[in-house]
Amino acid sequence: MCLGYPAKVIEILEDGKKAIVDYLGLKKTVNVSLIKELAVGDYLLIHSGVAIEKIDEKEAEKIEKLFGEVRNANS
Amino acid sequence: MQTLEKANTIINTIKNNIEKMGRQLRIIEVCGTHTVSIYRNGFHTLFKGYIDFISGPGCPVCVTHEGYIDNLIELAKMNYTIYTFGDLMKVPGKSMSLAEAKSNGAKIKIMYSPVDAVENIAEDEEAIIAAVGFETTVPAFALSLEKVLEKDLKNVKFACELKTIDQPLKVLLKDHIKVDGLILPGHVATILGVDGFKFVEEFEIPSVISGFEKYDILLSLLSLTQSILDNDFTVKNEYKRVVKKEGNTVAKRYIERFFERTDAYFRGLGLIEGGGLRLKSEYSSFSVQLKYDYESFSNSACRCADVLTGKLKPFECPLFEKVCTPQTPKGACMVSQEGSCNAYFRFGKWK
Ligand code: SF4
Repeated sequence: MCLGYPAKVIEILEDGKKAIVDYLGLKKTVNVSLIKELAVGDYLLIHSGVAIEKIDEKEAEKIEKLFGEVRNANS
Repeated sequence: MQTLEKANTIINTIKNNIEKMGRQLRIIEVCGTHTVSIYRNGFHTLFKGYIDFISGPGCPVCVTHEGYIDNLIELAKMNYTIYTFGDLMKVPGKSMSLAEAKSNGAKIKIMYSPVDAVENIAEDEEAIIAAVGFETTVPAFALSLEKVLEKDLKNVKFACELKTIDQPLKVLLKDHIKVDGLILPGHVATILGVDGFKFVEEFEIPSVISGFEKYDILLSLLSLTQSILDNDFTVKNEYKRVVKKEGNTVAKRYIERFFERTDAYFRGLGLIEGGGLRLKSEYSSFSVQLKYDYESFSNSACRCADVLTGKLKPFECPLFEKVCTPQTPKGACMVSQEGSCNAYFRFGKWK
């Protein structure tokens, strides 16, 4: 129940409270009311249909570089 | 190949750190998603003899007591439609689970998001949203209540069984368990921030906020063993790509706007002062009154209570694998995908 998944913002819908995100090729509409200064291309952590935080791409890259893996390598 | 080398270097450093201490470490992972990651990736065997992993009370389904399930079933009988996360469906109540009640004709619907659920509830449906979860999920319920207010819906209510993480952790560390280190829940910390876990430092036990991928766990164990060696009790953050010092301030404001602390019953830990959240009095008309009979909760031979407080490993429960399986769960720890009995059943190579 506490699972979260990362997804990329494709489109911010008019009222700024929703966005269409891409998660492994699937398009979903999520609530983004909790996220400040959202831009298309940002990565979000989604939980229960709600974006709970932006994912810092630089930090994510650091880890990816360290391990030479991509984010969804958890097979 | 390069990846493997790096991972091996980290694994060896963790083991070297522990060898310097000359004893096996007891480490508690508070969150069930960590339990699953540890078992799925085989870290419990990889670090056998080095680390004894204990599963904490951070799975909301596992700490939900049967009394709450009984309440939901009663409400369904009164012709309400219950909206619940799927994880809760198989948790046994005193006489049956929500799944059984549904197959007996009760109106129970699975929701993926409380916000979407509220958007789609029909005008003539008397709906009750089963609000279960820790701080990770509370903002989603706050947003759904906001939607109820905006749309002026009179037919939606919340059955709150929300939990906070700080109080049960304090009780656990004070009275129930002796551990060398804590792996703190990354998604609760996403909302509460590193600041939200500062209280752990008072217990003088090293701790680290961790993500959920295998490399997150390895880096967290590296950080944790280093902290243990250094007697360093500051809360470390190994999930920096998501967790900020102050957490998600918008989400925290949402929680404060709609919810206030209340006492809450935790399976395994009992009634905990300030361990839960309820709707503030100005929103009480959106809240369902639940009736609890705490005395009757500790039923059956299920040993979830001991599992959740680190006294027993799942395989030491006499029902484990014999009568209790994910298909026929006898307790919440076997029901939830994030429960420790379930994780042991699926991934445990403990023999
Ligand atoms: S194995 Fe089943 S009965 Fe035993 S503690 Fe776990 S959930 Fe309860």
